[in-house]
Amino acid sequence: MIELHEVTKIYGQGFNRRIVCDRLSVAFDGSSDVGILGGNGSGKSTLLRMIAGMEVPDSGQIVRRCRVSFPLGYSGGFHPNLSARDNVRFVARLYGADEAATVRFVQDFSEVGLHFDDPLYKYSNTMRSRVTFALSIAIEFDLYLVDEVTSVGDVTFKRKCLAALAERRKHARLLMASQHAHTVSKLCRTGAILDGGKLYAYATMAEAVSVYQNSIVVTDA
Amino acid sequence: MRTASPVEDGLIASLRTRRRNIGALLLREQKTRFGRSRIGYVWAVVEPLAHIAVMSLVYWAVNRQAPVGASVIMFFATGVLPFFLFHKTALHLGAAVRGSQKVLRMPFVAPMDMVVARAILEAVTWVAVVCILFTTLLALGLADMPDAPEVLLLAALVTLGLGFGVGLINATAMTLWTSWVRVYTTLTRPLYIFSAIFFSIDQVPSTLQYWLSWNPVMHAVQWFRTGFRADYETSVLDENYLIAWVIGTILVGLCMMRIARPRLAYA
Repeated sequence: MIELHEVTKIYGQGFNRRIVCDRLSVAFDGSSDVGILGGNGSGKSTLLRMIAGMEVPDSGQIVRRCRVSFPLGYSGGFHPNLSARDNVRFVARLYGADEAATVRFVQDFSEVGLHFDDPLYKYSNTMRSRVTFALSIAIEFDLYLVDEVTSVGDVTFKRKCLAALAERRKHARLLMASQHAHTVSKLCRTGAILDGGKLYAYATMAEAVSVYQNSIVVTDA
Repeated sequence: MRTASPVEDGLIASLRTRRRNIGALLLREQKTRFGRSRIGYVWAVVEPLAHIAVMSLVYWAVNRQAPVGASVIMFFATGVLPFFLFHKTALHLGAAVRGSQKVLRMPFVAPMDMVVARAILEAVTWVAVVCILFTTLLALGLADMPDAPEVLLLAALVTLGLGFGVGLINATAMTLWTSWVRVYTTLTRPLYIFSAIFFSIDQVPSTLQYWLSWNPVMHAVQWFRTGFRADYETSVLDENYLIAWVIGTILVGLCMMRIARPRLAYA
């Protein structure tokens, strides 16, 4: 599905130099959902962004043999002066997805009603995140990237989101990144830990979680 | 029913991605070009019109003749319009990366997509403005049909190329060094005067003429004018010099963008 060859990413220079990925070579074959664990600032989000194609590695290569989503709920492509409808259209066009169908799906799913044609800068945070989440699952991908499950609105809507995601997972895979072992272990069967620019893979999620939690205890002590 | 883009590899596929991205960006830029202003595109016509009107009024008040040709308005219009084409393109392309970094973080959207989308938008807007202005002037009997439309078109295309090249350099420079916006506008402000928009380059002293001939925008204006009047004689028009500038700036701009590429979306 996705292969990383010798991927290196470094932020900053001199004293601030931080290695996010250190000649990382890894393959996600799509046989199971993968959860990546890592502490704050360990580079999970950067790794996810590189896999999504949002960021270019300093060196190395990323080969995608499937359709990869942007991180769920990412709203960077949205323009505040445009209506939700126009924004959704833009992203649909960008991914070559069916425009009318995507717009219809997001409009129904997000439940923002008549506000759908208002410019985005008038939206409340909840409304905006509803639209972004709806858009994330409106387009069909083979691999969905999830960066830290964030809450979207009230309980009913959250339940609806999880149901929609479960529906998508019948044909697609998840790649999650989180610092909370709990949420990841509920959804993923394979686990990995990102630490110091290296990715350590484990056969089962439970194994990864126990190593991860022990490492936290060790560093904290 | 909803399918995302398939996996893409190779030159043809990558060209297809570029086309799709530019198409999507074009429609988005077209709606946001003038911010929240509802009458945005009216300004695209009003701005050059105001420049032409004010200068014509001044000339009329002091009772001066047009330096070349019968119509003062036409002389200014043929100077202001190519200048605007260069100026606006260089500026809006310059802001293409700085102002839209969040979009550039969308998967597979390259800074170049944004630059090209804006260049197309600028070109189309300019052509529309030119058509509106000249149709109005023609209807009012203040203008004549251009003598050599093909020269006009070529001159406009090369001028757009210069705007593109300078805009490309600006796009990278403004992103990596915020103050470049001010440096650039300060440096190029005199261009409005130095481009022989309001006077005839053939009627100034030869020393001044020599120094002004280094300005590529002046050549763009001269070239554009020769397309309008077959009898417009000028000794300082050097098309090859202008074309050399276009090629030079585009090359430098492309190199700068390539070198800065990994940093552009997060600078």
